[in-house]
Amino acid sequence: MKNRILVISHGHPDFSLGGAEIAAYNLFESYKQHPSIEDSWFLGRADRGRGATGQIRKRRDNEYLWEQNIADWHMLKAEQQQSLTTWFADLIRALKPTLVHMHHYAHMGIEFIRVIKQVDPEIRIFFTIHEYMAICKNNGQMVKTGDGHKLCSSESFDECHQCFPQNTAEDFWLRKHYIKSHFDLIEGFISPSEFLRQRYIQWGIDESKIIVIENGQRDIDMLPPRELAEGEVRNRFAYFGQVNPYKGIDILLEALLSLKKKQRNKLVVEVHGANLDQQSGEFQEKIRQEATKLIDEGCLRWVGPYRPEDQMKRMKNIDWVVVPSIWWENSPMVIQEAFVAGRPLIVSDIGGMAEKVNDGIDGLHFDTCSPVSLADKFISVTNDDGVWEKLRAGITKPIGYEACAVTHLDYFKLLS
Amino acid sequence: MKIFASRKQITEEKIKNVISKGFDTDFYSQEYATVLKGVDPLEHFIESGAKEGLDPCEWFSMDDYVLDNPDVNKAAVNPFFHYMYFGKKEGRVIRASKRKKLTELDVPFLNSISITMDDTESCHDTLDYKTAMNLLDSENFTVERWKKWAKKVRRESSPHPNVKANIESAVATESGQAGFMVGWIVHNPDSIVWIEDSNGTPTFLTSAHRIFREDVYKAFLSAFDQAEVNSGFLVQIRNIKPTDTLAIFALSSKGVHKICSADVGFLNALPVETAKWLFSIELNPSDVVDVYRNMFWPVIGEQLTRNDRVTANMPITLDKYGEIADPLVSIIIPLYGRVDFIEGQMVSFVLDDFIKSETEIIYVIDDPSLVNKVRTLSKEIFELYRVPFKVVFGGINRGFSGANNLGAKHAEGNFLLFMNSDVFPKSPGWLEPMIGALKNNPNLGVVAPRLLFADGSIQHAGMEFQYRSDIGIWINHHPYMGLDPVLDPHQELTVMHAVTGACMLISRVDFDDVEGWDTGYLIGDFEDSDLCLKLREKGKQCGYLPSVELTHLERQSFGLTGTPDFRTKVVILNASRQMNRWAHVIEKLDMQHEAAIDL
Repeated sequence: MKNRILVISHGHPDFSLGGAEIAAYNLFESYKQHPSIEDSWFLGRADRGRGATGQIRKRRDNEYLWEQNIADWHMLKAEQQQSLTTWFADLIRALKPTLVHMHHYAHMGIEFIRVIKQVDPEIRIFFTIHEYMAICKNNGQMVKTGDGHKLCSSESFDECHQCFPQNTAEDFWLRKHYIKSHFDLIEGFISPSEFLRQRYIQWGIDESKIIVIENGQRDIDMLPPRELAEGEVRNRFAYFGQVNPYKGIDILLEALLSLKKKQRNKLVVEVHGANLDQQSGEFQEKIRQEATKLIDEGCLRWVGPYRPEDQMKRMKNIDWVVVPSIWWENSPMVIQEAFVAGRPLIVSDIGGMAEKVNDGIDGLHFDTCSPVSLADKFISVTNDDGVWEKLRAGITKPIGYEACAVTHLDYFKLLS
Repeated sequence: MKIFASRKQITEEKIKNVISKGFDTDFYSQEYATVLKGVDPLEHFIESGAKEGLDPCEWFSMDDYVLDNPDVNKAAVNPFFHYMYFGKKEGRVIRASKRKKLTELDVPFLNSISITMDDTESCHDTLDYKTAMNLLDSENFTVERWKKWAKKVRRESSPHPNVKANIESAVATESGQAGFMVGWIVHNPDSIVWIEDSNGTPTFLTSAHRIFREDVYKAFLSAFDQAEVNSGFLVQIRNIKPTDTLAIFALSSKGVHKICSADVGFLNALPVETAKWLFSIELNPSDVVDVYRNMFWPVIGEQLTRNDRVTANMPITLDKYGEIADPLVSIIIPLYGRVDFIEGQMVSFVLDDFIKSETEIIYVIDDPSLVNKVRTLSKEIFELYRVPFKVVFGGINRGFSGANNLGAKHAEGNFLLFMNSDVFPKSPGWLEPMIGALKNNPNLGVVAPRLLFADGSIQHAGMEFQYRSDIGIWINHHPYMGLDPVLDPHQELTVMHAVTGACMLISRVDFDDVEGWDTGYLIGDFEDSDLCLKLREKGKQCGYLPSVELTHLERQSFGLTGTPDFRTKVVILNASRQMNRWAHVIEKLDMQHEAAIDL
């Protein structure tokens, strides 16, 4: 039988540049080119500025947008129910995929899994999980609601109720029961990190049904080290990604502020971040205040958002990449990208970050949520000439797009 | 209204400020959460909500205020602003939002009418009761005899022991063609209650549609051992006018009690306005289609028919640009809202020799506000392109069907091509294959091409009827909409349940045979499927010709207005009419996609 793969993602990279969307899209492109795949398509949920109409529209050849949203974030139910059994079912009937590789159900609702099987029970479904949404109602962060962003290790109906008093413990049983019934229709799961895989095994996915495949990266040579001027040291640190409270940008700024002025003048931190203006006023105010002082002093450069194709250019001029997230993360794309560039990392010592960066081999760990611990790392690496070269040498090149796709196809048993 | 002379001084800021004093943010964001989508509630109300008749707070009904105060409607001012700024001082009457629930709000009202029920009360043994029952049961019941009796019977001024009622709204159109009353009544099934107009003419609740009212049920819980559970009612009252007064009466052992009364408000007789008022009534979900079919349609349908009579007498103007002799096809294009599409089409028509030599193009202005614009533009366009065309204006907005029929009336071709103004040919030579398909397949009554969105995906690939079991109606489904045309299972001429009216070819003979487009739908999009069903009834089929493709910027030319909720209700209303007319044909259709036909 000819293999036909439909990739479904909660966003299209043309409109939304999250790591999961990009990973899904890259796989779609690799599948399309692979000789054992007859055809491949991409369906991305999108907001085209007229709300969730439930309609599906062509973006370009083999690519579609779905104007869908979630009406009920507790049960992850789609807003446009009618759309599921009309437009969406029409799409499945018309494309006739033999396999659907889904990457999310956020903003789309979870029901479409059932609809695929209803149209044709023979269609195999695989799911790459990029978050903890099924486990945790708090945006899948596994961080407690309320002040302090307390980390959470596993779901329990009673503790979930404490985070969401409007829902009873029984509501959370129902939620899990409902999500699980949809997961049961899925043949296999893929996790980009062992950490996330273990969380889902603990939650209830059979360990034989979930494997780890890291997200694919560009297949290019490591960038040369930044050229140092006479007497200069490896003192340039960079933050890449969204600026929101979970990403720990405040930890980074407070680490700088905790240093003596003389100390921090010896280093430069660049923030390549986007969407600060979409955060709460309080958070924005705090970040602006802290940043302004540091920018005036000259140790902080607020570079702002970047286009994906410019990222390597920006990596050229820095030495270290910092990932100070205060939540678990899964497999942050920026870690893999730093490895591609040949830039060692300094990361929080939890979750996907602790897993992907090996302390003392290709990067360093600091105590999560501790500005002082991060500040110590800044001082120690700028005082030790040899450590940067040693860590750079320890970097293993990440898996490329093509190899990543082939690993998937092998897991799907589609390679002859 | 003198005050409007100084309207210039009322700034936007002032309006916002005045409105904000009575605006209830919590109420608004809760009631209209689905349309807000993150917009600030006050901003939303001022920018768009007010125009759509959304209520600013529990105690103010926008619709009622406009209905009660025709001058406000004419002044085109935000009704809530009007009330806060002028109406309040002038002592104008306001009514509560229909969204309000009795138990939550009207505690003082409930206290005032006393919620205790006397279950020992019975008037069955009284002479009045027996007489009334006789009158009602009698085969020779006449209004006159009833009126005579009602006038004689003793009036009792104390509260009725076990009948409670409230009239929430009573309205009538100027002519009295449509009159309705909405409210609730708690009464035992065998009690005698009726509504009386100022002339004493009775209306009985037996003709009312009854609605379950949870709020009333909770307020009078103990009474419902015996009382009719569906306490809400919507009843049609005949021959009343605005400024009349209506009252509810009930009989007890003491005599006849006047339970409550209300002045009749003004109901706009435009079908859309009447529909809006009717749509605001919350019905039992399972009854929606029945009520729409049996209660709303007779009234709205009559208004639409009257509209037709009025428009038939309107003067028609016909302007010709260039000469066309003996056209084979008349291309009929209604214009509504936008005129810039004309040139968008003309750049294609000018390239097509067949269009220029064998067809006549007829633009039908269906929007009085466009008349002057089109006149100027027509001259310019004709000078630039030299493609002849006619422009017809029927004096008034006639709707999609009416405009198409008017165009057909002025058409000379043997074939009629109905085309929306936002449909654009991709290249010349698109019309000939459509004519060929009709000529070569005598079983076909109509042929429509494939239509594509601006992004190249399918907009129209034939239509099919789908049953919506949740509301119990057939709707028109556009299969494969949004998909790549290569995924269309039909690539050759195919028979479908129905085809789109956005671009369809029909012979003059068949068009006349089915008496043209039906004008009885309310601003909906069921006119095309209706036409197809009429053809089917005559033994003709609907052909979909995917090898011809045009671009359709759907919904750019004929926009439905109002809230999503209003649009949904219009669809249900029209679908219920289509079902009334055509259920017997639809139910016989093969519900799978129909197979390609042999040529």
